[in-house]
Parts: sequence; structure tokens; C-alpha cells
Amino acid sequence: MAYSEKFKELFMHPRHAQEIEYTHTAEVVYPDHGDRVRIFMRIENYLIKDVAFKASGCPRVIAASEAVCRLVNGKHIDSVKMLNEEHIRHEMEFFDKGFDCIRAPLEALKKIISRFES
Amino acid sequence: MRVYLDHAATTPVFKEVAQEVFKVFTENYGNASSSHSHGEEARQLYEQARGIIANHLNVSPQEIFFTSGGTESDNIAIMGFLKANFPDGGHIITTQIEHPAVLQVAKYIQDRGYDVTYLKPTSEGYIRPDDFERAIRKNTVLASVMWVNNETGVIQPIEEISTIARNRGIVLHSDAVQAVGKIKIDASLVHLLSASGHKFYAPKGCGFLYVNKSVKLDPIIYGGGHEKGLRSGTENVPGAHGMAVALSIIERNYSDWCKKLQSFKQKIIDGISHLSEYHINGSRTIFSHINVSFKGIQGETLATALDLRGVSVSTASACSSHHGTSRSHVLDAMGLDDWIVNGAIRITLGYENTQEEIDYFVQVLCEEVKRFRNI
Repeated sequence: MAYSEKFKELFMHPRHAQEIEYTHTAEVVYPDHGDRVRIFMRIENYLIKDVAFKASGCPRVIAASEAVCRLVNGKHIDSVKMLNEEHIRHEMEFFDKGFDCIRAPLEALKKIISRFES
Repeated sequence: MRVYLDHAATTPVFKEVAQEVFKVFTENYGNASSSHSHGEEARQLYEQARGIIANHLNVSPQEIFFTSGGTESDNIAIMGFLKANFPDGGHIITTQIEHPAVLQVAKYIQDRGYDVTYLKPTSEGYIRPDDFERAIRKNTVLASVMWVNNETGVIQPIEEISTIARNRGIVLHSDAVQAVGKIKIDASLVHLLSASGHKFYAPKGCGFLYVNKSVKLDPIIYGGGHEKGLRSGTENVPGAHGMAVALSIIERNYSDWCKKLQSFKQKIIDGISHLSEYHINGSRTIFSHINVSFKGIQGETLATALDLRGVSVSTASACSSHHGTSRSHVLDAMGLDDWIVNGAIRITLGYENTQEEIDYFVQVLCEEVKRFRNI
């Protein structure tokens, strides 16, 4: 599959695949695809001070996890609530809509937001 | 550095073969069926190629029929045999690990009333001769068992299966696409054998079918009656000549190249052995194949990362756009765990690979496996 340069960079050089001290975490598993993503966040005063991920799965899941981390790092929690699949695809420069696996890190993010607000 | 390790998919054309084929295109371009001298020159090259290929397989030239490749050879072998001899039905034995060129034909004839048994391999990817014998029925008319599996590289027990088939009066076909040019083949062990030029350093679009003189086939395509009426279509003289030259080069260098690839394979296996939680898929494998899975890493992910670092390997399992996840039917048939099926990559060596390329590959493979395990 031909990937964009941005996609390749996210996949080969993820900056957020690391361990951090976190306050919130959530995991999403797509068993049929063998994809598993866990997002970790340190949220202080509604600000996402640090974010990281752990993922195993296809190249698109790994690149999407890194894309989500880059999009939310340093942002106010309210400003990431509206993040959707199109934002992720744009960040990844990956527009083949056939692959729904890229939703996994987004779902993990939504879970964290919902737990933070509850 | 760019390293090609997907020789089971296709091989580069040997430079000497390309030069020879170019010469045929530009100098010996006559139609081999024409009676003038241009045609006669082409015919001579064509028949010379048939002789070289027959000699390589230990059969007679009259038993070699040129085709467009492995898929066509498999189709003619199975459909042509049934059409000529058992048009009203019968029982066929094949295996669950065949290439789609056989499996899809088996499914087609099954839909038209033939009974088909698909033999299951062991977890090591091997078809047991005992299972083959047990599957034989009174109305078994044909068996099709591949010589070497394309995904795992497992060499199947053709000699034992051949003995059983002959004793029971069953015609045996073998898809030897992954075997010709890699291991020494005695085609006379079987009645029908398929091969494809681009798997042994000849051009794409050419192949052949060996048909034992005792076996009658009907054509499945019709036209000018070329290849004794079995395969109509203008003779592909450049392709036939290219295959003959490629096999001659392989014969000349076989001993040295065989040793070289065995040592490269061992070097890769030694490199892999320093990593934890991996599984080598299949045993009794050909010297060019390694099929391996690393726990926690999908095959598609590893193959993509290797590609981005310049190394081409293949994977049978991948997320497929609009179709969910596609899996290897071969590894599934072997009954392997999900992580093994999803994690498999196929590394297939070629005669032109160098020590430097293998060293680079082993280094990159180890780095990428460790990197993904930390993500």
C-alpha cells in the first residue's frame, strides 16, 4: 500500500510511544483485526499536560495512535472533545475510508474524556 | 540499501536471459508456425527450449507443453484431464494448502458435481502420505498436490504420494511453481506438472505443463491448434527460450548457489533466534524460504516497516480495505494460533542476494521487532 510521507513519519518515528506518569487511561480492542490501543494522559486543570500510547496492530492503528497524541498534546480538554475521524485522517494524510481500524485510538480518547467528565 | 527478499512472488530476470530474450524479440521474431526461414529459425529456438526444459525435468520433449504460466498450466491440467477422461464426474483429492490456481479450479469443478477432498496438513505444513492413501475412494480419478508450498516453503512428500497414486491407478498432478529452478525435480514421478517462468529468473507470462505421454488431456481454449492442439495461441518463443536459458544457468551454478542460500538462511535463523517469542512456520522447508511470526507484532506491520527501510518481504495476512482482515489459508489450515497467523512474514531468498544484503536485513529485522515490542 502506498502511504503518504506524513503517514510514514507517524508510523516509523512515533514520539508518543513511551511511558509517562498519567492520570487517565483507556483501552480499545478490535479483536477481529488484532488491534489494541491504550492511550495514557496526564490531565491537570483541564489541560492535557502529557499523552502517550501503547499499540499493537496494523500500521494504520500505530500511525493513527501517534496522530491522536500529536493532536491533543497540550490542549484544553474541551477543545479535543470535537476531534473526529476526519481530523485524524487529515493529520495522517490517509484518506482510504475502507479502513475503520483508525477509529480505535479516537475511541480510547473519547473514553478518557467521558471518564474525566463523569 | 534496497534488498529484495520476495523471490517466491517473482524473481528478477537473469541479465543473460534478458539479453537472450531481447535478441529473440529483435532478431528471431518470426512466427514459429510460419513455414518461411524467419519462422523456421524461431521454431528451432522454440523446440531447442522444449528439449532443454524436458532434460532438466528428466522427461521427453514431447511431454512439455508451453503455456502462459502456472495458473494456466494448473487449469489445463485439472480441467483438461477431467474433460477428456471423466466428463460425468468423479472424486478428486487435493490439499487445503494449494495455490488459488488449484483451489479455485477445485471449487469450480465441485460446483459442477465432482467430489473433492481437501487434505489437511500437519501443524508443520506437511501433507501426510497416509492421509492421502486414506482419502482414496473407488471413484478417485485425479490428485493434485503441490511440490513446494508457496507460503511456508515446505517440500511435500511427492515421491511417497506418487508411489501410492501409481499403485492405485490415480493420475497425479503437481503444481511445482515454487520447486522448479530451486530443487532437482524428477517430473516423471507425477503425470502432470505445472511451472512458471517468472519464478525461476525467466520473464513473466511464460510457463509450461508437463504431460506424461500416457495421459490424455482436452484443451480448455480453442484456436489455431498450437502445442498439438492442447494450447492454442501464437508460440511465445522469447518466453520459452528465456526459460531454457534460465534453467541452464541455474544448472551450471546450482551447487554453489544452493550452498550460498543455505548459509544465508542459517544466518537469518541465527539472527531471529536472538529474539524472543517467535515461531518458524513449517519444517522440511526449501533453502530459499523462511516463514516466521513474532508474537505481538502483526505481519503487515513488520513487512511495512521493513519496506520503509528498504527490504521487501511479503505477508499473507493483512487488514484488507472494505473486506475486514484477510488471513493466510495455508497457516490457518495448519491450525496455528492467531498470533502466528496474523504475525507471519515470508522471507524468500534469491540467487542474486549478497552477504551484505543479508547482514543488513538481519540487523533491520531485529531492530524493528524490538521497536514494535516497545510501542
